[in-house]
Amino acid sequence: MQNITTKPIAAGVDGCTVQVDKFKSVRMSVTFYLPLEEHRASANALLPFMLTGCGAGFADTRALNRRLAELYGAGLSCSCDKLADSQVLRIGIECIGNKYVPDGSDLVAQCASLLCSLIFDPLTEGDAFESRNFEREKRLALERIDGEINDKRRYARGRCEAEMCAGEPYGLPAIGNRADIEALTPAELYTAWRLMLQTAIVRISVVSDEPSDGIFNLFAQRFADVDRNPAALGCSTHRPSAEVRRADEHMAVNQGKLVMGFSFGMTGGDSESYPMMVFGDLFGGGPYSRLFSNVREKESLCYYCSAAVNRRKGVMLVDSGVEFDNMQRTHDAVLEQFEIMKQGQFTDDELRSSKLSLCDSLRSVYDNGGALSRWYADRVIFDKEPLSPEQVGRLIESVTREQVVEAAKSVRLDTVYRLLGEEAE
Amino acid sequence: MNIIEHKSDALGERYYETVLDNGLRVYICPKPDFATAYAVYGTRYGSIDTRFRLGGDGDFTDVPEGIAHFLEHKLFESEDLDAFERFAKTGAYANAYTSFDRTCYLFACTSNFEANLDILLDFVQSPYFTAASVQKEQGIIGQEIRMYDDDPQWRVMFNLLCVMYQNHPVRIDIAGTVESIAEIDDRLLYKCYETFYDPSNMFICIAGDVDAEAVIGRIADAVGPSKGLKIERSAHSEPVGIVSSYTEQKLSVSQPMFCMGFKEPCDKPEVTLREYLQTNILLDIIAGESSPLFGRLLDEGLIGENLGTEFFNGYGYAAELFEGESRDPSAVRDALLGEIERLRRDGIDVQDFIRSKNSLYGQTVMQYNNVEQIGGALVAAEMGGYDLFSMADEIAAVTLEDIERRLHTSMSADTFAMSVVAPK
Repeated sequence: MQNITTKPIAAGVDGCTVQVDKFKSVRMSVTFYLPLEEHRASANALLPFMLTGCGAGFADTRALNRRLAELYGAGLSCSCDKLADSQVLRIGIECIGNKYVPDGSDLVAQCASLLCSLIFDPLTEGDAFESRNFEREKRLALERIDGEINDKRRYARGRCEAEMCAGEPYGLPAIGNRADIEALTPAELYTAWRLMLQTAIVRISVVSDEPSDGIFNLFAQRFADVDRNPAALGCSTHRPSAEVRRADEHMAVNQGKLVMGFSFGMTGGDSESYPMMVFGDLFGGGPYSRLFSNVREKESLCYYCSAAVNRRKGVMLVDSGVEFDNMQRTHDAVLEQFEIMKQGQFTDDELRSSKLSLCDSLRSVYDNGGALSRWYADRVIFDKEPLSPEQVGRLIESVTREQVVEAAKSVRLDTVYRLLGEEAE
Repeated sequence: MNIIEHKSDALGERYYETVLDNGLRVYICPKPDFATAYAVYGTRYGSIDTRFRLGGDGDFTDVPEGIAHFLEHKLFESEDLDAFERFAKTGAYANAYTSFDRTCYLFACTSNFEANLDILLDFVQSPYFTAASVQKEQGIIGQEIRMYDDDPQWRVMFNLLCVMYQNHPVRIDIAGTVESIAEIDDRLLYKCYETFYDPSNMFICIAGDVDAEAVIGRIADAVGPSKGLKIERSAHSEPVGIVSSYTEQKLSVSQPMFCMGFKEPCDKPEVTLREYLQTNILLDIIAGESSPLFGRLLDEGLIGENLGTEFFNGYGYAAELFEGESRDPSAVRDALLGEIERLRRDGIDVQDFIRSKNSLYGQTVMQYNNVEQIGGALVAAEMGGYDLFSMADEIAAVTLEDIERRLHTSMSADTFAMSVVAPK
């Protein structure tokens, strides 16, 4: 079994260890939570990539990669996402556990100190990032932004969210926007880095077979030199529009993408959001869901049609890839299933299947180091009472049919986004 | 029944292997610390099996492209409750996939393992195809094909295979085309099922907190006898040469994507584990993230964050592939070919070799992190015909001379081809 302990490291900085010996690798990840704000988002978005693209002692990406290969293929990862009204910057490292290291060295300690050094000792020129590496990261960031259209499903979902939440923090792109990245200077990024260290809420998660005191001490020493002033994080509910917003976009594509954004007038950190999770799953989760069994299996309209609830933002996206000519039929079929949900015309078997499936995947969190690490990072930041996967499972089990219907009734269609071919109407 | 135990003290892992009387091969890796159990029931039947006959048949049968994948979809259906409905009663996650040379049905669950195993064993052995359900599936798979038509990474790879291979069916899309799947009917599906879903052509891999002996007994009770048929796959006389060295397609993408590589001659149908590992180390030395080539291309703004390498291989095909995004794929090609020439001339740096070996060792250890990965590794070992635990030893045994030899005997510029998906 795993043993979960948390430890304060500095103001707004906490360490969390999941000590468990069933994994072969050790994961350490540092997550920075910052308010998602238009004037800072683009610089922030660049930071995780900048900090993992070079560093003190590593003149460029290749030099750093050589070091990782020497550390038995340790993997450095970084990401930039949004969660509620926050921008979430994550930098992590994964390496094989010390007992599997052929030469007997303390690989975990070496990786911890590399991770710490990448975050606190970037390659700089005065109060600015080193320009050659900065220019490379800037180019890659612009390519990431331009490259959003390459994955049409993901792109369409992002566009629907942006339309739906325009004017709200969540409507901003997590990876920044082109104009701001282009205008960014190495000195401005340096300032953003200092601000991140000073103002972010920070969570250091370790999934390891050993205690993590050494790792936390390393970070405690470095954070002791930072003048910490953590910024509060917002968690506002999406404001639904009075009437359904519709946005069409034309592109040279073979298949249309239909994304329907729904809103429900609440955000959940606690118990009231569990009926909504069951509603979303029963509506468009696994193969037992209304959307899969009807829109796909009965009407044969699509390969995928699913719903994803974002409980922290009070929104749900339903998306499907369909023939242009079948857009309206699919749209109507989704709404027909939505009506059925609101009228409670789903079977007890369907409800039971959904709860069983949700509980099964919650129990499986304990068997995946990455999932465990994320669970004990984000949840503690945003939930009033952070619960374990097991506790959430018990809450899901207790959700009643009436609660699901009530949740369904609070949901409104908000925005419909369609990606269409160049000629399609 | 003879059960073989494979054990690795270094990894602290063991797994059991047996062959049932009907020829079904079973692999079980007990993982007592895990709540999740993962099971795969697979057949050696994939998109490349488009022409075959059974011992006794006079002529070879040609089947439409994409039929293995179509069959995978249809097997979930039955006369009463379909497989998804049955798994919905247990809470398991169920899925399936078809690749070039295999079709696998799988589930993951944290409870009711035996009930889930029974469902898996039963539905894979119970085909039920009707004209109406075949027609319904054509709409669903048609949209799956359309989705891949817009997927530039998928397109760039298959376009490359089309200019590399002249006859081998690895060049066809796994799901087929909207036109080819229109030719599929229930009769053809039964024919393919009867041919390839015989226990002697199949395997089961399981990882989780299970009792190996009891599970093997359960499987032996549930799986029927072999019909003793001999599958004969038509040999595809594939020339050594490629069709063309360049192909390009325009799609809505932000910048060109490329997939390029060398077609290897196949004097025997399958590569060995040793050849596979050696080639992976070589590819890492040439273009891995620590390589001089990667560093230079990144600095010159010629690649994005990733330059992927893969030793792509299966029954009758093998190729070293390099893929990524670039404003100028031709410059990447020139740099790659130049780097290979340089390494042949100057030799491989011993430190680079050791680094690549250590890195591959670490990745091998990490594949035992969870039951899904272990299950997947057991499937790969079964398909590749090797003992999973021999991998670490094989890596340790690789010498710099092995890699140098491989560098000089593979990757001929004559069989190099490049595929580009360019912005519309």
